[in-house]
Amino acid sequence: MVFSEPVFMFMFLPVSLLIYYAVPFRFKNAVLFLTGLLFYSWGEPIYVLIMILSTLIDYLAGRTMYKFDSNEKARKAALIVSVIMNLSLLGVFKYSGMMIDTFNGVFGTSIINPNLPLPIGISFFTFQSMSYTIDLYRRNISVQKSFVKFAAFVTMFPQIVAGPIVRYDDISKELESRKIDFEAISNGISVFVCGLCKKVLIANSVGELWTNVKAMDYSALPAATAWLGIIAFTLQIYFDFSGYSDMAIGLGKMLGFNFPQNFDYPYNSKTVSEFWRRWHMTLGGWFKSYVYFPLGGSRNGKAKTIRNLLIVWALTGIWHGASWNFAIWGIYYGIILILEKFVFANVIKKPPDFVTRIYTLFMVVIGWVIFEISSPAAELGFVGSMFGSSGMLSDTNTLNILHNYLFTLIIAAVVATGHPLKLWKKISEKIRFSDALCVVGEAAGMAASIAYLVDATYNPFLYFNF
Amino acid sequence: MKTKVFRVILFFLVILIIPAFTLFGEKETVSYNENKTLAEFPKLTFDSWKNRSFMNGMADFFSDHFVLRESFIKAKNAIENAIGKNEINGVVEINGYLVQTFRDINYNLTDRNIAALNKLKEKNPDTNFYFMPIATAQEIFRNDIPRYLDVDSEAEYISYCFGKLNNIEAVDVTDKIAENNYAFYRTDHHWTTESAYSAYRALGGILNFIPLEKTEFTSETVTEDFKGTLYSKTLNENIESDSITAYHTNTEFTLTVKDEIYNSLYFDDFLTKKDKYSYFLGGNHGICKIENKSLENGKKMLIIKDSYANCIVPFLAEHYSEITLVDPRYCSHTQIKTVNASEYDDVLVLFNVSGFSSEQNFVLTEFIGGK
Repeated sequence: MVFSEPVFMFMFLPVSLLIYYAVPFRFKNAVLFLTGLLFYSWGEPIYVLIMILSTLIDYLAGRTMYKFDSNEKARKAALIVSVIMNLSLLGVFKYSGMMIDTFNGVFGTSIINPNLPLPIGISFFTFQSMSYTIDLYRRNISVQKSFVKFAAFVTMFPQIVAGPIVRYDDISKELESRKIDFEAISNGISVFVCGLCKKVLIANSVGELWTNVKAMDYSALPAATAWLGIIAFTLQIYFDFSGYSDMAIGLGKMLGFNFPQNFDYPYNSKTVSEFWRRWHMTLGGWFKSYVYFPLGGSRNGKAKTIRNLLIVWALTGIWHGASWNFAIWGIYYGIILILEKFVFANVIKKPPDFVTRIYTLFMVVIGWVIFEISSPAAELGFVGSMFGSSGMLSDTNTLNILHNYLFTLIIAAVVATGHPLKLWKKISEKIRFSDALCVVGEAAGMAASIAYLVDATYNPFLYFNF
Repeated sequence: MKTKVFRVILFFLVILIIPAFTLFGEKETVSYNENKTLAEFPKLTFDSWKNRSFMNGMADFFSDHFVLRESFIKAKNAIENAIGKNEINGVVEINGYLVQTFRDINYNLTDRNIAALNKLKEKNPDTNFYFMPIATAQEIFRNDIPRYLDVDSEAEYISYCFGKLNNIEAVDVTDKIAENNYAFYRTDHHWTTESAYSAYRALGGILNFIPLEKTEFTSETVTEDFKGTLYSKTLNENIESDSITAYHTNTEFTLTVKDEIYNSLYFDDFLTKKDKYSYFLGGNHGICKIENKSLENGKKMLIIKDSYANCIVPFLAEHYSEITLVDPRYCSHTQIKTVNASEYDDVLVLFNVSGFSSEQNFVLTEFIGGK
């Protein structure tokens, strides 16, 4: 189930929330666990068993570490079991197909690819649950003795399928006790509705434009169309992903949890390094804590730092999907970050802000080409057409795109800077009823989102073709 | 704080009222505009859970019966229109008409279709073949269509098709149709009876019959509240409803569809339904036969057609003892083989341009028999 579908918003959500609010506090975590299972199994009726198994093993690993508190070997063994189990789940369900295909391609073998379907959200819940056993091993957190509370942490519906990657440490206190009042619920609703609008009204709309352009023949693609297409994708992925994170954060607030922020206007960044501190922050944080620092981070000289950065970025890339272009995409960022850190560290501070912003955006946009187009040859073809290899600047189709999408693109680009929100905050301090205006705006946004969601399934019958 | 409480109440009202009305409100079982049976509430069983048909069924049920569904869609279309996306499901509004856009021509398919027709002609060298593609409303409004819509030219497409024909006479009635004030329905993709009459007159000179004057018919407006396919696609309420006109004579016809024989080419029943264009011939049939008992010339015509033919056939039937209509979209391979083109004096291929350019079933034509 995803948040932006009618069955979630108008069946699952009201029922879950009503039960959750109605039961006494000591049952609330159990409700979270059970509704989370229902939510997950709605999309994965079979694989839900894998998720339960993974949760159970990590829970038991935690208990084992607690029981053998003074026996470092036993603690280490429990950690290793947990990490290997989680990574094997990822290995088998996410990467086995890609590995087998690559192996067959390189060695000319014909090992049968089982083509296992990818369990939804596996990259998120395995990472979340590993954060618990690793932090416990490091003695950063204390053990969770209650299975229900631990299971509620892993399975709670707001964050299970698409993040943010909530670490156990982030919400361990709230699992024990949390305040659920009108204030929290009301704030949660605001954040949820904003996220819904970002996803449904902006991301879906500009996404349509990119879908059209992506399917075109790149050798005959006018430069302006190529740029419009990839800019549309740049906006789509931001609004989709951050919209979804906002919905998760909002739902978390409605349940009494404060999830970590996941996006901080990344397209405003002045360097690529800064971009990655503001984009999908919980993933970057996870890799930093559990891969980069354990490898030694930047403390052991230039050569090792470069090695560590490349490892982290190759992994970050491949985390996004089982395909080599994601690895290339990750290494692309690894190299840029290394250059920014060691070669251009001083140069990059000199030019005025707008220059470094354009530089950053340009690098990010090229990154999205690698991310979205899976074959390197097609990527080069697309980048080529962005720089006029087709010999055309625009055609009537470009005109069509501009007419249909220019307004949405401009709104999206302006909203993505975060300035409208800042401006609104300033204004709202000075005027009365600004809260009420917010409610009106949110209500309008929600109504429009519902209209767009309903229309997504409108399928007029064309007796024309019969 | 009051606002916060209000926000919470409002949000919960929305997420409770919508499912309440959707689940327990009065429900339609069929959708008029989408012309489909609406989903029923799915049954929960172990299998339907395991193979997700329950989940998919719930999603279908919810979207099909969503409270105020069409109003929400109209609201969305209004927003889209306001921000510049004025083409809805491939339909634009031009001069008070809903017009279907024509683009992304599949030339391979067209080549295949025309090759099939050429083969049929080869098998029947003694029969006269006529190919009459009908341009749709877009061609009539070509000067009013904004450039940004980036549509393809139907006239050019027609010339392309004509260039591929072997020993088949090309008939282009675009200009004749354009002379009518009301050439196409405002809310439907079909041509009007007026346009069909113009095409019929033009065909007279080519097929050697003397077309009847309009004065020889009694004209009747059979409905004034026709909202057709293009309305269904856009739910655009600003467009005036259409009227359908029929031209009658006293000639008696029989229409044979499978084993059923009807004594009229017009079906009043459809005038109270949504699909009012089916007033002509009762809609599309795979194969049907029209006989004019009062004629003794023995002339026979075969029409390979789509729904555009349905309103011109009553005119043509005045001049042929027998007309057989073959609609490849509704024919099986075995059915179409029972037709033999060599038994006819004339073979007319009548499709609208947009339909013909995307017609996957036209290749069946090749299997119509010959000598």
